[in-house]
Amino acid sequence: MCGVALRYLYSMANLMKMGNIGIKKVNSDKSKKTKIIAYALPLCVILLACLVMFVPGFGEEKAEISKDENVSAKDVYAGVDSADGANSAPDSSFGGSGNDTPVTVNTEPGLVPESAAADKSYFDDAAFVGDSISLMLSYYNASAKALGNAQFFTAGSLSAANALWEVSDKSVHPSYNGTKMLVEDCIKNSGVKKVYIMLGMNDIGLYSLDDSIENYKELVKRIKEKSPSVIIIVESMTPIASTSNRLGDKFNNTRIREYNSKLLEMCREMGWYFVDVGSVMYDESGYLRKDFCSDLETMGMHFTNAGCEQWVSYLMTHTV
Amino acid sequence: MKKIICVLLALTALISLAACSDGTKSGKDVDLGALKDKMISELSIENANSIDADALMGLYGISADDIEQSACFTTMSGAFPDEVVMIKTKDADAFDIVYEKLSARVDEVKVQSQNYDAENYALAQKCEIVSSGNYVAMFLSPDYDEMVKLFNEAIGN
Repeated sequence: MCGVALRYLYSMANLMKMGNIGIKKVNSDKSKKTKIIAYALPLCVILLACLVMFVPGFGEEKAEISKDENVSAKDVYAGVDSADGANSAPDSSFGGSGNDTPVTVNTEPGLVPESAAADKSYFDDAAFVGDSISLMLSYYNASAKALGNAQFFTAGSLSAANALWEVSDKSVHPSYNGTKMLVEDCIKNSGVKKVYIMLGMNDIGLYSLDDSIENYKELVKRIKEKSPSVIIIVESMTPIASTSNRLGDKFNNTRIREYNSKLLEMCREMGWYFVDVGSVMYDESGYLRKDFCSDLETMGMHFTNAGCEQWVSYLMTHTV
Repeated sequence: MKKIICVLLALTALISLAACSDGTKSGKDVDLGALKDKMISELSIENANSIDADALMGLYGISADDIEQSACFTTMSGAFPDEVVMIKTKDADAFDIVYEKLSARVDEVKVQSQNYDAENYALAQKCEIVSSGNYVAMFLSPDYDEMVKLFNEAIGN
């Protein structure tokens, strides 16, 4: 490279001497300026080329190192199946365990890594869509205002499936300012920019995991049709307690983890974000932590104030 | 002269009657905040999260502009939180709006819990909006009966 450059310089010098580069001495100032440019430009090119070749790291794009690089979605939720659906403590390296070193915010679709804690005003233009799990968060936030002015479009027993049904007096749909309407209409009317979605508790016990994913995709498609620019952030399902009266073959923490794995795959495929909220809710046995659970003696899946605090803490340190 | 005096007296009576009517329903003054504290204390309610008037739009579609005073709280217990809403509206028109919104909320809880949570469904079925004058309240709670009693005692219902 340098040899070529030197030959070029020599040629330029000869040409200048012979006067064959077409610079005419019509005007001495103009001629001088042209000569300066003729000398300076190739010198700059040569200098740049040498920098690229010989200075380490100069001009190279910084590789975005994602925590989930080369890790498949299944690896995130690897576990040992057991009869009651529990497993050993899940891999928490992607969760907000509090021990991880904050990394650069990853704006690539897929799993959102930990970042510096955002101010609660970050959620002023956000909405949370969900079932009764998120309903508890909405009441927590109404009091604590930990998520700023975030809006909540939640309804007990809401699912990705019944969210697609028509609104009626007997239908399950969230409300916007007290008026029941479709999820996509709530979002459109609210004008929010970010939409967090947590659904699944009322899906996976009734439908196959794949059908639930298809319903999820259809719901988001309808949201995007009415609000094309909203950012979609899917939240993982949270675990259920060991005392839950809902534990069974089709509804257990193994199935929840499997569904979360599929949700992550879906986000990568569709270009959405995924926040692994559920990862910080497990106890050492793979169930919902008892201190986070408000209904240990019944459904075993809803949150206490402490559980909501943990939830908020995770959201604040996993922003897009 | 007598006629003039009679006309003046009649006018005075008419004006007095008009002044008495300010568009509000009757009702004695109650400190709802103190009532809320009394309820929480007497019923040994734990982990009650107070909710300000400005949060009621997002939760129920109730505007703070319609509220003269309010005392609301939820408890993070069970599958559905206990929801206690006590409001004194600014006037009769606001009362109608708030009453309708709270009734709608009770209806929604019935729909959402019918196939989901038998206990909460039973509570919602039992729950009636309580009111007197410009005071209106909703008690979605296992302590419904006791709360209604305390509320009615306070407002003189």
